[in-house]
Amino acid sequence: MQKKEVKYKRMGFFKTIKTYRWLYLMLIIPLTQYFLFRYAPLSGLQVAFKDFSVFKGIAKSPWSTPIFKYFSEVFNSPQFWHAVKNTVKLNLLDLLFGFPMPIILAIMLYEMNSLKLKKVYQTLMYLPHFLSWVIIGSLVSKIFGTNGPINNLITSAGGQSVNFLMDEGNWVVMYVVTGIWQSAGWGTIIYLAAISGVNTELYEAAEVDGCGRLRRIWYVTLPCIMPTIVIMLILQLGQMVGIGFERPYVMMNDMVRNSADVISTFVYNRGILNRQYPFATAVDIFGSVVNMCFVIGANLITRRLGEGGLF
Amino acid sequence: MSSPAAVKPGKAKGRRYLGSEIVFNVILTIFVLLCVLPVIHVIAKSMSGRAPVLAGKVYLIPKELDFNAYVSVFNDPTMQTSMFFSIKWTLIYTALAMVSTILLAYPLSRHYLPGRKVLMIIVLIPMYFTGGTIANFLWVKQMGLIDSPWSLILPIMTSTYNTIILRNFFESVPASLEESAKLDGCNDMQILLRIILPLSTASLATIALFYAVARWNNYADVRYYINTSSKFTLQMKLYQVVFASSSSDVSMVEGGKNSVLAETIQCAAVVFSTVPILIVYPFLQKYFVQGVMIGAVKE
Repeated sequence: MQKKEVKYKRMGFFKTIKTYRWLYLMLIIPLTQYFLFRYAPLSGLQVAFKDFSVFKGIAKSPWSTPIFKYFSEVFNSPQFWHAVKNTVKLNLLDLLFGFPMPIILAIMLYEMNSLKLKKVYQTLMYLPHFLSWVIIGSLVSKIFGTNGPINNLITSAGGQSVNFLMDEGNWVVMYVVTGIWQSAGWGTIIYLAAISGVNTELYEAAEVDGCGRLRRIWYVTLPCIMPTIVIMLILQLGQMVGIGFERPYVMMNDMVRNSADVISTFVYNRGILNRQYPFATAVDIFGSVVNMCFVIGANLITRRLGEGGLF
Repeated sequence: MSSPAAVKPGKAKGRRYLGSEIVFNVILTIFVLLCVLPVIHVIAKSMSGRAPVLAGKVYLIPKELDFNAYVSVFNDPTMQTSMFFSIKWTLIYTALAMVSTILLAYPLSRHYLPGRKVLMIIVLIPMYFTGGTIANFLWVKQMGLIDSPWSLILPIMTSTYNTIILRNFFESVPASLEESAKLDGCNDMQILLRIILPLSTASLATIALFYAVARWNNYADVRYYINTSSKFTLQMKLYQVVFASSSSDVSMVEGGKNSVLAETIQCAAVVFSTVPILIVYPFLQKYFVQGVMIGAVKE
């Protein structure tokens, strides 16, 4: 990447505008979009502190008394804590089982001898990432449903058919497995890049010292890609209280609502379906604040550990 | 790589790590099969006859080939509406998003532009702090966009992530080209249109595909903002067909003269809505790794 420092003389405000008028003019469309649909919606956050009425609009609705009325309502709601618990539980499971998968796969891919096969494998592995959650959810219900091939195999082998999607314990497993299925292959890209950046002289040195392949992976590859792993970890920790809406929503059914209701689906139900806007906005605010804390906290810790944070 | 001559250890000496080689290959093969088999199964089921599907005998190869499910899906007017609606608005979205992204990425890539740092901050903040579902919903409502296709376009018209990828591409175009064009009397808009864009067609194609796939696959915002069934995207329609199987559309099709199983129809609908992705996938595949990598190396 070329980054030549071009020095420009300090000039007056109007001269600057005139010189770069075309560049500034270009910004009109994107900046309008940013302000109109990214910054302006933030004004809606005040709804969490108001007795919102659709007829009066956001600005004219009176402030709620006490001001944190809806927050205390949220914090006193057992369903809210249930959603928080589910969110954290599913995210922790994703972290525990989903996070290491792309690292393991990337290392194996890198160690593959056949480059042709490696290419084919990569192409096929990335595919699930491009399927929508609705399609993935449909696939899951077709594969693991009562008349699905898995249950047919089980029953034809003389076993009892398993209710993968309607039983809460099984559902959680399915949720995690589906997440791995969708993102582990795609996740290898970043680690493969990190691994190919490792200095090969280190490998040679390890060989000279008598390391086998597994020990070389453990003592050379892993430490070398640790900064990438840490950054990805921070990014994922920052999502601890956030779960995309589509994955749980698409996989959910009435039988497992108890373990599947997460913050995003809870907000959807309360806010958009039941129009409890102040309540749902308060939940939203809670989510973003906690997420912020997680990002900043994770960043702080990794900096202390000397791995270099994200910012 | 330190030098082109450096050979990966273990690779030159054929069977040094035979044991681990086998284990790695087996694990990878299993994973890859798991990635592909579900899709193959659904394809197989979608074109199998009634009896083998009911008996649960279809695994990876279609049995008693029967394309009536596809006939039903293609002839279902709501399916057609959703398909055309999805295609139309995916194209509109992609076009508008590209314009907006290019117009943002180009000034951001000009490091001499006064105010670029502030601009960058404005662009980055929403990546870390957003209003959340309800604030965005209320805003869309306030703008009068509920149940309008524009609610699926305007709020997500510029992706910060894609903008940064494109900015990095623009930055890599040699500055000398721009300078000589300036000497010839081109203004910045002309430089962008005549020099920069023609040089970055590959990256523009990548970003356009990213946008198209994102819009095509997005389901949540349709669920939030759209109420009328004539404005349901294909994903929304697919959700209804597969998960709300009691809905009238499916039983209607099922009760038709062909009497195709709902199960088979659902599979055909899944394939139907996956095909567009599978068509663009080879093109995507060519560029996206590069795109992801550049995007990952953020400043």
